[in-house]
Amino acid sequence: MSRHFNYELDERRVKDLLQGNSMTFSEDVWNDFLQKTKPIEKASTLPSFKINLAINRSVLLTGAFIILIGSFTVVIAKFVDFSSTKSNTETVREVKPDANNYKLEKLTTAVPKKEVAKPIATTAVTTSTFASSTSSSVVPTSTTQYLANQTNTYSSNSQGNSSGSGQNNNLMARNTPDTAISNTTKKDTSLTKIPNNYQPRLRKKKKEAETLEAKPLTQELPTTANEEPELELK
Amino acid sequence: MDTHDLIAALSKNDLKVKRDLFEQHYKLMSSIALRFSKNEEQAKQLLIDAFDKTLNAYVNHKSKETPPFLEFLKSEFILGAINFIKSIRSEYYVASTVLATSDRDKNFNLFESGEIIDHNAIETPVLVKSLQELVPSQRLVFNLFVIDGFELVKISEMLEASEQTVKSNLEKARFNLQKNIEKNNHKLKHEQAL
Repeated sequence: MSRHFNYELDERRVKDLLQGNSMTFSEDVWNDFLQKTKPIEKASTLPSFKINLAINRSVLLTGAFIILIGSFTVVIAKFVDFSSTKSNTETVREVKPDANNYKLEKLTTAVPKKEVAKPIATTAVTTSTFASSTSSSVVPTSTTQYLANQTNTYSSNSQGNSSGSGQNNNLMARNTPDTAISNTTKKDTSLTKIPNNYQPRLRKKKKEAETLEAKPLTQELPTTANEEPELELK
Repeated sequence: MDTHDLIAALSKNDLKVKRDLFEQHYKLMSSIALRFSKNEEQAKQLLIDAFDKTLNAYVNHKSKETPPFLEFLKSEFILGAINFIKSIRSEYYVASTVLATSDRDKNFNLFESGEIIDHNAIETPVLVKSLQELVPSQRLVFNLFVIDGFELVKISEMLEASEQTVKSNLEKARFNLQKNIEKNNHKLKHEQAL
């Protein structure tokens, strides 16, 4: 554009001139209008759905891709065994609450029972092996009576079979090594009742720590800075 | 005729009503068509096309209060004219107004001739021809801004272009219009002298 351009047009006059300019009406123009235009169609209120699907490369590729994914899904689904899930569900048992489990116990059952003394029970165990070797038809009613029976049978056997007493004594010695029965060297055939020296071990009470009385210092402790000689580095 | 009756008649494709409207508003439509198009032939095509679109738009108008037909025609016919010009894409996307000619002896620099032109005495045919010689984009912008009185923002929306492009086209249109007027005025005087 030129640097010395001055816009000199009066736009208001240009506007008046152009708005006043027009063409004369002719039948040809109207006939052209009738030929070229179509009758007016009022648009329906309902929206019209038109699907324009052109078969081109993008549509075909999309369809092929969908078919590929679908077939792959079917193949994978064939590997899944849906019946196994049913068998798992069948094995599960329904646990119904048993009414007997929830019976209220009587208060009398709640009374604690007295425990049987353990030392007597141990003697019964020690003599059980010996009792099994002897044939006794007497059924003991209590542990003391049982022990008495055992001593009687042992004494009768020892009197009857003096030669076989050694074996029985040996058995007794094996079963009760720390008792007087093991004195087979003394050749004392009479058996005495084994004294029950068992006493349960009691835990020793811990001695309480002695409390020492604090004595006041008569002399001051020497300070390390003044008296201790410094070590020389070699 | 009432607007509802008019719409009913138009929807029934009443040719008498259509012709009445066509004749009644032909002057206004032809003036718009002449300044928007490049020649009279194109102006007639534009007029037919824009009038048909205006009638369709008026019948299918969806607002509650239908405006009077003249008001509707003024705005809708201009939109139809813009769409018609833009639809001729081979013409709309031309960059320059200067046409190459074989006559090299001719001096195209009109501002160096020293001839004083009275711009107030410009005749209408010269002005219309000068305007029609502008490229479509510049012609549209000049018409919409100077004659129809639209704002630049509105014009940029109507033409689907940026405001800067519209402003640039307006300046080019002003320069080229004045140049065309001086050229055509000189040509007219030369022909009258002969």
